[in-house]
Amino acid sequence: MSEPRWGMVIDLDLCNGCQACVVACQAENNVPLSDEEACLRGKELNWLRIQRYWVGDRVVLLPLMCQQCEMAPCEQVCPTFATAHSPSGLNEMTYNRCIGTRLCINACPYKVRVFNWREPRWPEPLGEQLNPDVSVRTRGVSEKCTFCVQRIREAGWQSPPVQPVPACVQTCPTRAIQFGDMNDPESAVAKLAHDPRAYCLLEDFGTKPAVIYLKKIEYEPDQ
Amino acid sequence: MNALTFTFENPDSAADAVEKLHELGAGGIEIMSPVPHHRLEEAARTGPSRTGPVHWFSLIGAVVGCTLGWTLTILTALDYPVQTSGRPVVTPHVFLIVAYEMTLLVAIVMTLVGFLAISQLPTMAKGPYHSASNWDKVVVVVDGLTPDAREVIERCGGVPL
Amino acid sequence: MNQTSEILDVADAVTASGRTAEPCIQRAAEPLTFVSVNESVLDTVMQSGWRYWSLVTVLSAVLLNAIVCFTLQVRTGLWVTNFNRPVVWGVYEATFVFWIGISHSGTMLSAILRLAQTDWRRAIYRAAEAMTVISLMTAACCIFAHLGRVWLAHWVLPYKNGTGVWPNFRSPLVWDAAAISTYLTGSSIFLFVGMIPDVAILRDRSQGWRRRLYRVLALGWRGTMHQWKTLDRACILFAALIIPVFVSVHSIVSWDFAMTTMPGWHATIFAPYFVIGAILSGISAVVTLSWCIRRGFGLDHLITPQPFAVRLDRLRAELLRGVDRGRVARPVQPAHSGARETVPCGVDVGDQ
Repeated sequence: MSEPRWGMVIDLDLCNGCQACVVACQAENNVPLSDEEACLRGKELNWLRIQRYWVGDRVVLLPLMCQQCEMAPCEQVCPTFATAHSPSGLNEMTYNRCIGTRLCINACPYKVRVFNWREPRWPEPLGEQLNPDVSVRTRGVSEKCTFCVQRIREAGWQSPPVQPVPACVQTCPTRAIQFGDMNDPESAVAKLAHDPRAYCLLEDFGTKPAVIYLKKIEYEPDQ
Repeated sequence: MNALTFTFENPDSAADAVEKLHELGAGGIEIMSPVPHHRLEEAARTGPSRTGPVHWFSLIGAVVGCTLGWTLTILTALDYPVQTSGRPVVTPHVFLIVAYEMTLLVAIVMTLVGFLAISQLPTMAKGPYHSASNWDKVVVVVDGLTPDAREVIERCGGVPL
Repeated sequence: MNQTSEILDVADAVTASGRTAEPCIQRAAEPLTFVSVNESVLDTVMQSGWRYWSLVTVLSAVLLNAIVCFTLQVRTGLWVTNFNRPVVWGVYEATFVFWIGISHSGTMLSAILRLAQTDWRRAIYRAAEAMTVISLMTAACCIFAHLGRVWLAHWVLPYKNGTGVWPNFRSPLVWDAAAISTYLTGSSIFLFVGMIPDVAILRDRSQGWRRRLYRVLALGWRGTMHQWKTLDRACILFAALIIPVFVSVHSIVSWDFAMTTMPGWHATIFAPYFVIGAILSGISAVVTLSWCIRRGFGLDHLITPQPFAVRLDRLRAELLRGVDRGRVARPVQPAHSGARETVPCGVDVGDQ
């Protein structure tokens, strides 16, 4: 079995903007809670956000997380190798090495990286739900979506290995987000990647993202 | 030992005197001046060559720095290979930037070392010195003064200390 | 000597303009001797009045405030700066770039003008070199201030740090560390070596603990012809070596920005634009500094208007023209690279 190449396909036709994926990601990955003050300052921390676009009077919802780019602009600029690429196509974070220069945040064209401006806080009793499989980051460290690498790792330890399911994929009620091994021709993501609606964000930047989006088709109402 | 110290009001008269002393064949002359002066340096005929060997130190430093720069970057990249951005782990053309800085840094430091070594600074040995040589007068110290030499010096305006 | 011809130039210029002669010209008309120059300059070091000490007090209060604020920031995190995406660098990085830019002129004036053997540099180059060293240290403070985990800042230095890796030599920030430490070392050495004969004067004219200090720093300088020739040769070499450094330093600092993918930053014009801008702001800083020294220490007869008012200003105007060309080039660049400002939303509105 060859090394897996993890990828994600998001069907924009199915996304209804419920933000269940955002909440699931926050719960799974110990993402610091953004309180009212933070939101008022525009400093909410989300690894995954629903980017909202208006086309005329219609809204388009785009779940946006780290695109796990193969030619990631963020990896080469980190002075301490705090972000690097794994053989399975993940853009890995090593929080211990981060000294908080924020060059990766500037380099990311999708602006999906977040920075811990202060110590993370979880008002009681939300501190009880922290995931023991995921570290809690200190202030001054940059973080981003990891495709729930702890779940990928744990799935790989099972015998036989099972299909890993990131939190957002698990929670999405419309199954808009699919995850799997692009190298496996039988997987859903490998098949959907060849869909005629498939495209990548900012393809001409040359970042080669591992997240593929399926265009939303809208029909003009008959006159 | 018959060393006598003379002071001159300006470097030109001191240069005149030293040139005439050389014509007389007098040796053991040390000139100290508050400013560098081309004629004085020529007259003092210091050093084996006109250009001085400090630039060899710089050149050696540059070569060492260049080697050090590339060695450091390439070997450390190989020591713990980390895959970033789909680029190769060893990228000599990018490491050029660090190697360039290392070249210049080591060249500059070696120039300093060369300067200190060749001018024999810092020195604890006390050569002949008078603080007027750093203030406003050119000081000439002549070892083994003959009456002829003394006359030449006084004619050029030298005042004995 | 050269001073006389410069004084006459200025006197002619002032007469031609019809203005009355400034007091500086009258004082400058007195012939300069070794003693008068030495005494004027020595007075600036040996004497300090109430103005000096009040300035020191005020600046110490500012420094204390900075230390308190920085401690607060380190304890709370960069939350106190109110930076937010996409402006995650803000005033810290901008100030850092500014101070690095300011530091460029000291070297440029000293090194390039020394190699060109111009004489009018003599009144200002020492102050400019000292300004280079100090503004580099100020820039370093800005860098430390902007780090999220500043207690780990030493990880950009080339050694195998606690996490088991060496720094990433492909990162612009590690290039920054290399370039700025090279520049700081080089400028400090350049400043110090050039100062040795002057420190020897201080050694001869001071007493007590200062004499001991200057004796150590003067390295036993006697002023022999051998020492002067070696010093001259070494300074020319330093000048020749530090010019490539200063060209590269601000280019590397500009690549902090140009190596990202931000639409206005990801441009090749950055390196020359930053370097020219640095020399421009640095020249302005040297002019300001020279004016302050001239007024504050009463060195009107030594720092004549000719170098810093006329020649430096001409240089500054040329550089401003260069910077303006760069400013025009910058907005054009994103259009050329085809960069887009927003994440596309992927909607096909088709007819059915």
